[in-house]
Amino acid sequence: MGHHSNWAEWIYVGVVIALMAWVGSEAWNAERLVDHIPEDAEVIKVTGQQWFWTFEHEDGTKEIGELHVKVGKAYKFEITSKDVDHSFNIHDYVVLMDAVPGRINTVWFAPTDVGEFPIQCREYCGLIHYNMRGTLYVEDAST
Amino acid sequence: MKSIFGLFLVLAILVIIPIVDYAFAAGDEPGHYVDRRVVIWNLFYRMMTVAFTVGAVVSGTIIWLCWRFRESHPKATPTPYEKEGVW
Amino acid sequence: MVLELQKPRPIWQIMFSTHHTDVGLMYIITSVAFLFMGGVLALLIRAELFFPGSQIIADSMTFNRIFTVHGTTMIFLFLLPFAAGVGNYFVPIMIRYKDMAYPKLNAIAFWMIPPAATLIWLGFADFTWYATPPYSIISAPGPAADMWIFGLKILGVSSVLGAINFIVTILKCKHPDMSIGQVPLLAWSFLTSSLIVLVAIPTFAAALLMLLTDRLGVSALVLVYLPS
Repeated sequence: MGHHSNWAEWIYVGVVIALMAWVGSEAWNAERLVDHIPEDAEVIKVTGQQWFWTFEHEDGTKEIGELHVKVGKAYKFEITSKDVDHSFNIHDYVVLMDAVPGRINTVWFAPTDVGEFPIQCREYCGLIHYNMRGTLYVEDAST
Repeated sequence: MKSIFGLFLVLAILVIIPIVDYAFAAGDEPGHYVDRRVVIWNLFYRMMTVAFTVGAVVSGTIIWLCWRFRESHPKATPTPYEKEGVW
Repeated sequence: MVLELQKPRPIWQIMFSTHHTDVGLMYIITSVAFLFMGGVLALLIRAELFFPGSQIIADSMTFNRIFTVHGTTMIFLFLLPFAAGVGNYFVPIMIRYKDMAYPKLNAIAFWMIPPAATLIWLGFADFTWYATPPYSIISAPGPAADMWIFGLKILGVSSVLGAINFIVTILKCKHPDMSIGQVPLLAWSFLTSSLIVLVAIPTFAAALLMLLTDRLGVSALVLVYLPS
């Protein structure tokens, strides 16, 4: 049983480590970009409960099931729940964050298109989870 | 010795590239925010490309090895166990 | 097996048997039966979701119960018992021994599965197969959740007993002329997964117990706050 050269195995180890380092750093970079909340983001408090969403703007305006925002502005959602786990999801803007009772989770976005976009719950919360929806209205900055 | 050097060269190159990328990454100024959709979906497409490439390479290698070292291959040689007659 | 089919033993003799091939086959037959039952539930889900709107399932609570029991059955009543059955059949053959290390324990581990399955299927809980709190504690209605928890506890015990059996059999009962490095790879994989099961299932059982006591209101282990 002579010694066989194992340069191939070392190359394989090197390639695997390099791949994981690349994937890790790309993902870390994406997370850094996506998690860095701009200073001037307007805070919107989002509360999920069985089985609807309520929103409260900085100036005290409250909305149920509908959210009106302006295009091009940054908004920061502070999300919580009143009873069981929900998950706040604006699919078209890839906003997805759990609403956990007793805790406030934060996510931000800046809408770039005017229009109406669906909001849905993405964590099983019981009977009407499948229909726990809302609408995001993105309006022109001028209105 | 040469293999260790080769390994570290590969590692160095493939670790430095994303760091350089990060140094020149887009920042955010008011009015020009990062579009999270674009960042997230692009990452998804790149990771999918890598995943399928790696998957094709790994599974292709395994299939080739199983085909080449099957017992009925014309160039198959007996294993030490078969030569000795143990087990 | 062919001889068995031509002149079968009486059925009670097969069911009371502790031989590893009989127990393995019973595991496999039971798990495949549950595969079909869970598969029927999956087909119900697919039929319902084929078009928008409600087709065959009248209300959302029934749908929630169906996907919960489908998930639970496929993992805990098909996948794990099937793996245990294949292991029971082949591991003693692979290590050149006559049976598992503890044949009666083997049979006990198998026979825990039908009662546990009965509990799960009679209860038909609705909180998805991972039973996320707080929904599973404060909002899941009725005794269904408690039955699900007990069913899974029994399945957990069954898995641990099977794991103990595998570990002792492979490490202690292998043929004396077989070194540990000559043990076949499949036996090795059963050994490692049994070691994992041995450590992970008691943790799982502890979590289930915490969930149950929280549901009954006698503890606040999972829910450490009061939802307003």
